[in-house]
Amino acid sequence: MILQPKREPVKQPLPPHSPPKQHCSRCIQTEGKRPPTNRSDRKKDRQKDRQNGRPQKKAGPDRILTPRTTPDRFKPQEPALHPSTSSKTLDHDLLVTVPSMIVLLPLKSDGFSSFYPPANPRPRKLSTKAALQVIDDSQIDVTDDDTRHIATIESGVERTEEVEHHLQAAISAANAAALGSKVKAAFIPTPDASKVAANYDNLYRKVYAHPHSYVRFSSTVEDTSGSLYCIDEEDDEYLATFNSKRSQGTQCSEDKFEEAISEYEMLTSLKQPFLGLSEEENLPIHLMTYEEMEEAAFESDSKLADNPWAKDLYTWWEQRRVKRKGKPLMSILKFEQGQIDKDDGDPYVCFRRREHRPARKTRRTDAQSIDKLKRLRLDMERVRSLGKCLQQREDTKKENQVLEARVYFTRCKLKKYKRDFGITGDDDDLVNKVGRALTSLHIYDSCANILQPRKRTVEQPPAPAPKAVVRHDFKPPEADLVQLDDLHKLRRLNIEQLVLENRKKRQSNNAGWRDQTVEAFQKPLLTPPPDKPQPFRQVRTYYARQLLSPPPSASPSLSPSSPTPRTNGILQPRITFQTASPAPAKRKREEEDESEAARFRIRTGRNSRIMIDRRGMKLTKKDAEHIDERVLDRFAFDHDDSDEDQDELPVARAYNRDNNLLFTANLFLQQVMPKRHDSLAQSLQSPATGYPHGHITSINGVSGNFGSHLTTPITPSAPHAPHAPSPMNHSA
Amino acid sequence: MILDPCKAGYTDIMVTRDGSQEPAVEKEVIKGYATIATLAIGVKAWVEKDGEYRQAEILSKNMRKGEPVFYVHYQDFNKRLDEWVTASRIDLSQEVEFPVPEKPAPPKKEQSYPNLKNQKKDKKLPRDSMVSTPDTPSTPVASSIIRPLKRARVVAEGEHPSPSSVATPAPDDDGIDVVETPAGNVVAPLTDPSREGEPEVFSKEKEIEKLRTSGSMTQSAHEVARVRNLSKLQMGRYEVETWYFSPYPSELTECDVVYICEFCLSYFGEERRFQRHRLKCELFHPPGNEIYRDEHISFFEIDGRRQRTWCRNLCLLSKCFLDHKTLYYDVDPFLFYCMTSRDEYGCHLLGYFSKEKESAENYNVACILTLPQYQRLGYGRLLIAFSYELSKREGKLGSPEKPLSDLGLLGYRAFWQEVIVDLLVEVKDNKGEISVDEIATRLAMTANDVVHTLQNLNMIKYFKGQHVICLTAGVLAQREALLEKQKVKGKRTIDSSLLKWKPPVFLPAAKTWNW
Repeated sequence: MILQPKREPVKQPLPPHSPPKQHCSRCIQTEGKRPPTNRSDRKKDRQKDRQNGRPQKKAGPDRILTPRTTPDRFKPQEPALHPSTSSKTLDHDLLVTVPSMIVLLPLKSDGFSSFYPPANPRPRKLSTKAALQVIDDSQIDVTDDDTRHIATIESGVERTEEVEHHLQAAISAANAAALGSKVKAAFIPTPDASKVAANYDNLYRKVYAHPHSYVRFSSTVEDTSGSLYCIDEEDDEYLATFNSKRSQGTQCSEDKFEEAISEYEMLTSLKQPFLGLSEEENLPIHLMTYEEMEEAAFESDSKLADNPWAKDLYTWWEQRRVKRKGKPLMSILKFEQGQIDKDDGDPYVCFRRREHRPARKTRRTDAQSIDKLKRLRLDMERVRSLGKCLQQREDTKKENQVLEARVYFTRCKLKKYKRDFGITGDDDDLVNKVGRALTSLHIYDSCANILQPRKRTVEQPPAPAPKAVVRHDFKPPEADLVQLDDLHKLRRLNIEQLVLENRKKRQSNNAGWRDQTVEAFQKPLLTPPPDKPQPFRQVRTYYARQLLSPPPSASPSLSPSSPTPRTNGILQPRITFQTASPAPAKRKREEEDESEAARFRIRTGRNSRIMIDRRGMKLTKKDAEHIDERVLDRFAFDHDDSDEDQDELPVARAYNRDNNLLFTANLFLQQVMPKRHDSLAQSLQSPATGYPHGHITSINGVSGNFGSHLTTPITPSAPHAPHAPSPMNHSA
Repeated sequence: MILDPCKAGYTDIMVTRDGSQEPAVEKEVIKGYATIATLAIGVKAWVEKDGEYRQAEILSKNMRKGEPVFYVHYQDFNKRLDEWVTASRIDLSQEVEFPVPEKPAPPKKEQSYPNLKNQKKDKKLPRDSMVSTPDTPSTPVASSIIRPLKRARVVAEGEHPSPSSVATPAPDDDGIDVVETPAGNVVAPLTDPSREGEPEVFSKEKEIEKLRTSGSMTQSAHEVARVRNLSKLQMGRYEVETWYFSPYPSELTECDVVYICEFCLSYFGEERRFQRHRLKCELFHPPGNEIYRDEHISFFEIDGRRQRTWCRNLCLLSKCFLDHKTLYYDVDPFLFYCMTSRDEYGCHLLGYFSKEKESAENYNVACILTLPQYQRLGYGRLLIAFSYELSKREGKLGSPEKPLSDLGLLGYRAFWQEVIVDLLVEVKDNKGEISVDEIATRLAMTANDVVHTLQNLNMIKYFKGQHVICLTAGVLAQREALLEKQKVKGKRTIDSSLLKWKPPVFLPAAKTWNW
């Protein structure tokens, strides 16, 4: 019991979250015959025990057990020690047999091992993954400490240097401080760095302003140091005498002097890289002559030729360079010179190039490289041709400018002459009217080219000269530029207008038509839509195999007067069969009755049957006599559903009136039913005979399923008229 | 604050070298009295330093104004304290140590470099082999399995490496120098015992091979000129004494002062030239993109490949203050992060660190340097913090390249201690436990560095069968003191929201073509 509080911070033996009630009941039930449980269960149980106020001796074992649960190294040993007992029974054994030992347990967690001698007391290794308790001095018993087993980690300082006096002093001072003793921190002495140079402000200027944003910078030292050569005192003397011989305007400035010398140095290092590297003392030094220098300068785009003093300074440079045994005038770093043995031993040789790792060579990389090279070459060529074009363009522009200028000056002259001689009129010549008109036209054309690139070849006159030259009316130069955007807008407007017009036309053409094609692709409904029946109306029928748009009236080929159907007796694949009479949308009944025109309506019946009802089909008695009985039969039921009370026989009079039926058809009936054809032709010719014709378009593929009052099936009803009656005057 | 980067892999080997080296040298020591005339290179004499006499090795000798002067390296002092001394500072009343006996009594030497080299070659070889042979068996080198192959190849190519290249190596022979050839020493016995006599040849070749393949800036020790070659730099407002050798053009070594342009870092031996340059120079900040800016400082990112001249100049400059930096290979595979302070003159370089574009060992810093004139002002901590900020942005755990210099070690330890203790205090107040890996992830440090720090501060304890991290009173007191100091002086920190940076991406082609 005494041990408990001390151990707790280290081991956290009790899970704090266990609900106590449940435990109590369970604990009581299972006491004595507990099934094997896992470790956490046991912990919980122990907690329960305590909460239940168990006797003291029973609370004991958990204190014994706790050390067992914490150090992992004990785990594998358990089975060996108690091969016959499960860990569960072990608990009870301890509980029963060694309660008195509790008090004797040492503080150390090794306490458990003291029960079982074979346990190894050596502390385990420090694991970097294990969570370590962070405590302070007050929580630890120092006598307990033993960390000798942790391998000391190298400080990282070279051994020979680690023993150095000052470092050791500093380290031991730091160590002492870490142990809490008050030691004056030791410092490692370093050579002096505190002297301040007096001439700082002469050398450095207070001109720098740090930018507001983070600096981004990529220029190199070479970019930012001007000419790399710097004058020294010897040069000063020489330059003074050099300039004393010259007049004020032709004296060489220090900058120019440096520039020339820098160029000589640069060209020499370029052309004679190994000059002055030889160790041999009295080798003659062969410098490039001035002429050679000039040549080299020409090759390498050097500024030497632009420097008027360069030639005169050559001798001075040569003299100095020879004096230095060919070495550069400004001392440079020693780089590797290819003599490996010597270079390696020379501490002054630095910044050697690192051989790059050879890339792995495969056929694939080879192919890739070739591709890349090819592409590179293509790109380069494209760049070159672009450059050429650019140059051409600029040349043309320049030429244009010159010409413009000439025109301008000539005009000035002309103006003067005109004034001088008092000539009036022809003032247009003085203004660039034509040119302006042309230019805008050009632009318009080029825009058109853009819009329809295929139609025109791209051949274009060179771009017009800048407007500024041409304008004399003080308007901004863009004033009459046609913008591409405007053109686009215009075009779009035109199209929209056209569409609108066409739509209107179409609507007017379709007036009085019922368009059955609107839903042509929908499946027929099995039950007819409960739409209200169409009103009866007069009908003109067009038989056409072609779509009726463009409307017949608009199309010359379909116009009644068109000779096409009749040209040569050859069958035309086209059926044109029209009847036309504009059906006034609304008529009064009386009128309707009075008018003798036949009227129809179309209905959709069950299963998408299409029924056409007709009304006003009246046969005059006279007509009836001429008509075949069978034909007459068709009229037999005409009045069944009619709300009109007409006892007379139907009369076909109105039906066959010219203005009701226009009939131009080319059919293949010729072949199919020649006989009928003849009779039909006949019947057509006599106004008295005629067939009632339903307006039949192929509706949703439903054919032949006509209702009871269906007038005529399609085929016979489409009469053939190679010599059809002369086209009728179209009432519309 | 300065650190030196070098290759890792040294560490395991250094142990053995160290142990064996010292006794070997001592055995060969010959003691005796010397005169000024017999004080030769390699002799260890007692030299007065800051009022006391210390043993110092003579590295070079020269005549100045008719008087002999000696360049000495004090035993157990850093090389940066090496200096020229007059004969009057040498105590000839004490015995001096002469170098190995087989060497003929050293005649008067010229201090010039090539002579120095030639003179050394005879004695160096046998000594080296003696040192290396006994050590090698004990060295456990897990990573050296590949090395034999490499070595064999190098030898084959070199045909007769021994006579020619032995002539070139290190300028002088003392413990430090010999130590620097670890790889060869280790490899020799494992693969080819017959070659043991020439370990240093192999190591040098290997060193260079390693340089080439790894992209790191390790300096092969044989190349190091041990004598500081420049005395003083004038850089911007300050005059700074150099610490180590730097391969500036050798003509500059004759100048009293070398003038460094503060902005383009160009170097001039003559003041007149430098003045002329200043009139022409148009640079006001490091020639790259600014990636961080706060009230005081700006960071610039410079690509070694794009700004070769500037980066070379920077490396030459920093070599003056970094012992283990090498300029053997070019700057292409590195990025340079330069810290500057702004004023009306421009952006003054305060320090920088370089970083490999692609580090095989996940180093986040190659070289790191605060310029001496700005040291001990807290800038080193800022540089380190910034390097870890970049690592966080990359989502990687980083560590500085090894070996560290003495100043580097102290700087890094201080930084590590500060951030880790801060984190632990926070953890202790919250949930109370944390794993080493989690610390590492949150601070973008390697787990190794975390353990190193904890261990060094004696914070890992074994308590009740568990490891725990103990925030000791001493550590907490140090933290309090630091916070107090920061309250007074103000604290310079890196604000990650001001960092406008994405890890640069390099195409594989860039790697093939030298970056």
